[in-house]
Amino acid sequence: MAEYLMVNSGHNRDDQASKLGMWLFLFTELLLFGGLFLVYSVYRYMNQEAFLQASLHLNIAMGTVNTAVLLTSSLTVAMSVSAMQKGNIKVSINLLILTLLFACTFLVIKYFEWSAKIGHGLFPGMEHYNMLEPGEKLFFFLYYFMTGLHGLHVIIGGIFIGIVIRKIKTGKVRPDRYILLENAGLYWHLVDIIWIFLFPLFYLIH
Amino acid sequence: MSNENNNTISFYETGKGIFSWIFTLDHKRIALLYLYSVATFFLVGATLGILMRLELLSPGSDLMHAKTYNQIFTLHGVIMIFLFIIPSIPAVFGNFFLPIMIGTDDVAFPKLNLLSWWLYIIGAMFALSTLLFGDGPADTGWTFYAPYSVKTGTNVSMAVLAAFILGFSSILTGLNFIVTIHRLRLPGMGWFQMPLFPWALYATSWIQVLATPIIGITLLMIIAERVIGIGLFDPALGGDPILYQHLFWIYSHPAVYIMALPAMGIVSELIPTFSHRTIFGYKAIAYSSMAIAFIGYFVWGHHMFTSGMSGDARVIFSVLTFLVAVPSAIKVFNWVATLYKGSIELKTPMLYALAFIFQFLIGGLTGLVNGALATDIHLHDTYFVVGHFHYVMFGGTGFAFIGALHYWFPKIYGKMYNEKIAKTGFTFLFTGFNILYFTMLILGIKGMPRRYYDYLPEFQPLHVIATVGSWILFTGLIIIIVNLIRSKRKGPAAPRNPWGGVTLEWQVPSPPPLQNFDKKPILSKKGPYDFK
Amino acid sequence: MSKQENEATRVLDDDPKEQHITSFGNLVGIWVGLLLLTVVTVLISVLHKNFIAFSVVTALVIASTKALAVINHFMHLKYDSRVLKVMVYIVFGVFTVLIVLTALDYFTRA
Repeated sequence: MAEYLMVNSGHNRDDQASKLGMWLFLFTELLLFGGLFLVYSVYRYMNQEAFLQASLHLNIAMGTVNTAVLLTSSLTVAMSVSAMQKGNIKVSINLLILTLLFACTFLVIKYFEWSAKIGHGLFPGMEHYNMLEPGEKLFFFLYYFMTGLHGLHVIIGGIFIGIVIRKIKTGKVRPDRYILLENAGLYWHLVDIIWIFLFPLFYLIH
Repeated sequence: MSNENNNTISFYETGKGIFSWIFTLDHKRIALLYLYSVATFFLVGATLGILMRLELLSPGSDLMHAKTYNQIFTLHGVIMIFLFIIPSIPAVFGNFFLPIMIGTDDVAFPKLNLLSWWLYIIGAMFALSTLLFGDGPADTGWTFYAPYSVKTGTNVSMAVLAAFILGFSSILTGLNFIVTIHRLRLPGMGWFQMPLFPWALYATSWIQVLATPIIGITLLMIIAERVIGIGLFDPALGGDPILYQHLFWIYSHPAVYIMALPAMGIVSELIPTFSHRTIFGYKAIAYSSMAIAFIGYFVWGHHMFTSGMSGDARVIFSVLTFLVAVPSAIKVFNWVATLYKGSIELKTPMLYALAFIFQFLIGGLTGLVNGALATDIHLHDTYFVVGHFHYVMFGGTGFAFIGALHYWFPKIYGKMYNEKIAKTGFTFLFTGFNILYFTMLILGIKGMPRRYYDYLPEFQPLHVIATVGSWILFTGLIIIIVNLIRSKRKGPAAPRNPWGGVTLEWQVPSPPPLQNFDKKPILSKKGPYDFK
Repeated sequence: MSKQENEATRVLDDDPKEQHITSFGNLVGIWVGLLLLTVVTVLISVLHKNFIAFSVVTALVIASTKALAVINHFMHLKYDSRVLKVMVYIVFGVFTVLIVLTALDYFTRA
């Protein structure tokens, strides 16, 4: 039976294609948050004073620490990729585990922030919240919605990195085949970039 | 004629049983899965449309109450937009023919391709589940405008969630196509040796990737709003309903081009094949696809001229809207110029292509009437708008879809359809379509508002004409479908290249084998439309 | 007959010719820069309580600079193919225009 084999088969290995696919996916994530940034900008413009007042409830110190934590986790992922490219599998794994630890730290701090607010009754439906002005309510809704969605992305990114660690250990990701690690890194950096914008927009309105 | 096909095993014969279909990674089988699902939902949507026309046969509540009518036109819109027309051409013909036309054996991510079909099915189930519980399907119109969509007791959350999932499915298709076109073209096939249908798909895919997330997040906000009721889009609570409209149309206007661009790609294939002549202005058509996709992002405000948006913004959006007409017109001129001195063969697909040009022209020009500020104030939310977008969506994309189905039928099934019956079907469809929707344009100018189950008695004669049109149209649809199903069973075997086409899909057997190509594809040095 | 993944790797003309490995030193340098910018943006915000507009613009400029550093170095875009770079800039451009056009409506409302 005549069988013609394509050189450009869709079933060939193609790292550049995987990377391009990942970037395209990141674009969709970016615009997902983009829609929220749009809502944020409009409502902040319409309620400038209320947004300022509401932002005073947020804890700048905690936000700054979390920014530093996330930036550092981005560093460790980037270093992990470099280590893998150089063939240092052990270093690469350790840097990924470090990244996971930073991710957990970020979520723990976030948890304390949220629970402090909710402890003060500052959540939609609670009594302190109900007494706020409409503009402040919008601020808090956006705060919970955007940081919540971001937190969800931190968790997904963490799981992604966990999977990569497993695949490195089983030899499926290795110095001559590490596109999955690179893509996990790309995803993690995007989570970082979104936080880079969320931080000044919510914490630093002064 | 047919024994040239005998030395390959077609993709139908590699793998048997239902699981070899619903878990297949073959782009051709996924395309057929899409075809059958999309066609089913099209018939459901069309039936709902017929019901609406029946209700409108005479004034007053005859068949249904106002709320039922509202739910039916919402369901009609949601099904036709999200379940039929957005996935229609890209997911069916794009999936089947994009890899073949660029000379490869599959898309770049076959597993994502399968996932996108499954998400489509899950989304469809969610959309249909609104029929079964609570207060029935949403009654908001397919636009889910806030604040009504937040307040109504019907199953808006479920419908919105369905649209969210369907959006994800559409993103995956787009992502897959972009990477496929970038990475998997046959060696030697540069960007400008690529046929125009892949070009149109490329432009479409970018819109799918970049616009769909915005509607995703907007719909999530509607759900959050319904659950905790924060007043995000409620003016009584400090929100701004116009912001919802902005977000909605930032996606939904580009989405119109998700629907229209692939259809233009199809016409750009049909016209040269049946004129047996190189396409006129190849590069102009390719670039205009990209230009439409690009400018299409920045014109969404023209849906909101009467919403309370600022006057300055209205002027700017109106100007931008006129800009997008330029690349569309470039395409039309090039198609017509291709016909000039060609040896035109009026086979069924060509009839659909010509009907497309005629109807798209009416749709496009009435679009400009809506895009101009002053006339829009008069025509906004009337039947004129309904007529306009049906001319573009059905008269344009719908006709291109059916035309493509006939054009590629021999390639997909390896059988020829019955030409005579196909032409009869076309005649009914074309006649019924124009009676139905041209009447709507007139009704709109006379002031008949859209989305009402009732109307003033003076509109009745025109409504009767429109309803009769819908019956003729539906008859046409049935003839077409029966003919295709019969031909698939009993039609004579199709040769590799029944139409004398020159793009790569005509070099493979009908139906193609699993790997698509049974020998090395031959690229013409003179580009994709080299008719000697 | 089943479609197995093939080990042959596909290379196109536009692909980066050789693998660029970012050194640890380079990455740490970028990280230090990012932390410094974070400190600067916090300080500006805390010290100048009365300059709201000033603070929004600076905050966004600093955030964009940080994002650019992450994209170019951590995400390696600086050493990636030209096609990818063009795509990234177009996407950011499109998003900016979306914001501007929407803002146009709100800024000019009577």
